[in-house]
Amino acid sequence: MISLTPAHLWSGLLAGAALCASALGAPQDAGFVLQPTSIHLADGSVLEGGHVVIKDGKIASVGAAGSLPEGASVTEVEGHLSAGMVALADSTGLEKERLDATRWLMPDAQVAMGFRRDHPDLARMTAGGVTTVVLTPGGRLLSGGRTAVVKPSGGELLSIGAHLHLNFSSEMFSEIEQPAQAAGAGFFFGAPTRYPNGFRSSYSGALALLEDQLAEPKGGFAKAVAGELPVLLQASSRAEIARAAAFAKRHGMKGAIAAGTRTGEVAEAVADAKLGVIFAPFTPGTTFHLVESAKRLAELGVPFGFGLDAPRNGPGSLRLSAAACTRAGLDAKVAWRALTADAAAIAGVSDRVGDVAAGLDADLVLWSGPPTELTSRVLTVWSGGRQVHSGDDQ
Amino acid sequence: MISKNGDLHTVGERVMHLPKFWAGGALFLLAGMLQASVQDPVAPDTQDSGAEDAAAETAEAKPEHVFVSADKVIVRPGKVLEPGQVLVRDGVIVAVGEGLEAPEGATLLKGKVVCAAFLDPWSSLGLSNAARTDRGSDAATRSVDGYDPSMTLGPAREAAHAGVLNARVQVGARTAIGGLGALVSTLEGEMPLLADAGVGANLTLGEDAIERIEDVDKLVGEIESGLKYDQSQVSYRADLEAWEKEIAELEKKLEKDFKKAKKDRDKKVKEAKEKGKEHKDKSHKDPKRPRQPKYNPEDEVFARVATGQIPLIVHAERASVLRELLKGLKRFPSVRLIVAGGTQAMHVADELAERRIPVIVFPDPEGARSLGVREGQGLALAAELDEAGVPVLIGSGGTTAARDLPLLAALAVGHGLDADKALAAITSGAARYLDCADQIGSVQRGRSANLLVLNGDPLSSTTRVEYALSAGRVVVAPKE
Repeated sequence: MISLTPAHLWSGLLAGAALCASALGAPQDAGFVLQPTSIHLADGSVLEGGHVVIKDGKIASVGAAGSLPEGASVTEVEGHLSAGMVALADSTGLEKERLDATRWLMPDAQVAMGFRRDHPDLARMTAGGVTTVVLTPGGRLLSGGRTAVVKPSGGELLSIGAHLHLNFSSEMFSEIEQPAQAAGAGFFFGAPTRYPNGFRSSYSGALALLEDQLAEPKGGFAKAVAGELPVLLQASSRAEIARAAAFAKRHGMKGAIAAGTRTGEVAEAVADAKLGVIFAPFTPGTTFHLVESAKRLAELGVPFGFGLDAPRNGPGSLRLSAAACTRAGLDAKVAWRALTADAAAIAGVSDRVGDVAAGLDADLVLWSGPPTELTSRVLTVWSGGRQVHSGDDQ
Repeated sequence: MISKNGDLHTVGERVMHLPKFWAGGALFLLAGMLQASVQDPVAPDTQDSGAEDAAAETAEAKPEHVFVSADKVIVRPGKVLEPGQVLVRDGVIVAVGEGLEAPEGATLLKGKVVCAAFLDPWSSLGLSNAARTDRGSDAATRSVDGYDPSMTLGPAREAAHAGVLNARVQVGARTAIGGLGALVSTLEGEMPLLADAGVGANLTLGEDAIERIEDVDKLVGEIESGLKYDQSQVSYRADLEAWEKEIAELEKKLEKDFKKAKKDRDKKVKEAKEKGKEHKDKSHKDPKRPRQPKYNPEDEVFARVATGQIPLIVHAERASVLRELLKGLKRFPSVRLIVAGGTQAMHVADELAERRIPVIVFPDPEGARSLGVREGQGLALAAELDEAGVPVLIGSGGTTAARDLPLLAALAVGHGLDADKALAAITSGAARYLDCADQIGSVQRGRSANLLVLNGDPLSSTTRVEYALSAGRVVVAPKE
């Protein structure tokens, strides 16, 4: 969703800055051509010996072997080229903007307002091959407002209102246990940190509040109901996931569910509501319910992606998540889409990132082997056509 | 651990696991199998005619054959047959080679890649949290006694399906000295391979540097005490032997001189009587039997560590602790140290390399999740240590994440570790350092048939386990 003016403003400014930077040194201005060993597209197909023409920070064209544009300056690179990965659900650089100890219903808040583009962890993401991140509000709020989509390298804001966050997880009622500053990235997926003031209502009361908000003629809820603003529903248990899906369907909302481990068991309800799914990143030993859920969603054609939750998790956990699924039988194509195109669609930025295709941003990663293989490592990362990382120091 | 047949394993006992359908079955079958495993020399040769020892085949005990053929047989990392076949008889690999023929009646399995089943050298599968963290653990506590597969049934099954058929588990996560680890099977109902798979210690518990160093000193002290205990046992045995010899000689002499001595005594008694006196025998003192040193179960275990009979597996992360530990253990050259964790092991890499001390690395993609001891541990640690010449093993960090062991190994490869070394780190290398390479960890003649049939490279993200064999028994098979 890039319908909001400020987003355009930011994008424009940053794209301009990128252009200036490229004009100073690198040959991007006139465009350049990358010819890697192979190109991995989001649909799982592989172009051996193909090339990518990059101009003004965008992918101008993608060509098969033997169709190099005449007179172009071609850079042959050894490795496998793919789109940069898209991480859903993260809070790097948000500082205190994710939580409000006194308000739990802020449908028009924007996490982007607290985004620190110079946060040191952003470079780590870039080095790990993550070129787009969805920043999400804290998990203890009934509605934490709007998510934002940013590029960790340079901090370009692709969207400052990608989704309206709505919480269906009973975890928001947890007891007071730890002070506010302990509230970190783990929040979104219900890590054992506690919301300081506690949300002083019942679950039914919370649902009633959400329903009340639907009557508001303006603001985030109105936009969500009108289909102008996707929702990001947060739910943990099966009942909550089913309830959230039914809510979205009833009110004609589109978007995704940041859902718990057993989503697969209520996958039909999610598919029925035409929602995407965001999983917490897998860690070693993650319950097999998550893997099974991913497989079930794939069967039903429900798009899904993975959160990152940095710095709790390193960027490697995105590919570990996908690999855990493929090792357990998920189609590798689906797994790769979950890290690129499907995640970009869930983030609402398919028109900008998520594949190696003409017209998209030149957010590319060169790997030492196929990108789905954990044995492959990041060699080079480009963001907006600019080389932003080289080496394997992730 | 109580096995299916109800027998308890004692410390030091090696257990050969049996196919399920035999458990509790006729004894001669067992005898036949053990005989077979003894007859087949444990040799790394891979060429074998496949000729069978017909004598072992009797009408009563017809051997069970499994014949696996694959496009690629990874005998051990770095040694590959393309294509290759593996013949298993009664749970034991009896032939590995190219061009082998399947014997009649054999179960036939086919696949792309065959390799040894994975072994997680740093796991807590099958231990309840209570057992794992029991604060009463000491050196003599046996992890095998706390082993209850039903506690982690889900993860254990997943591990088995992922090809991780064995794991070293350790109790005592909250005590500096955790006791004897156990090498177990991740399969339900199978007996542990080793009830004394080294002693575990945890040097990450101290709240500050001083406490951690105190724990190092305590550990070194225990080893010293174990060594003294061993020496006292050794000298006791020597003294006892000498005493027994002396006694035997005395007895012999007595026997020999008996008639003369009796005659002399009778004469003396008679003379005394004649003189109206009472005869008094000369007092005689036998050489004193040496005193047995007092039995101490903890010293008993540390004696085995001190003399290198079993390895010492120490969870340590910080350079200061590792340095102190290495310094402290210099006096005990027989101790076979294995470091687990080793976040800052690169600071002592030269010494680890020189002394060939392996490190069990946990390539945790969670990065800076916990900013405590794991801070700074990169996924590249395995590669860096290997580069420095330190033997590297890969484990799941003492968690129940054994299922993801091949993925962790793949992550290490993705950060620079050689693929063969990564595979060895979860198969042959792990088996070697945990003293079970004669049983598992490679697809070689004489080993127990714990192997996998895969549809691709063992560490590839898209590879699946098609068949898993545990002691020749097919324990994982495609659903269809």
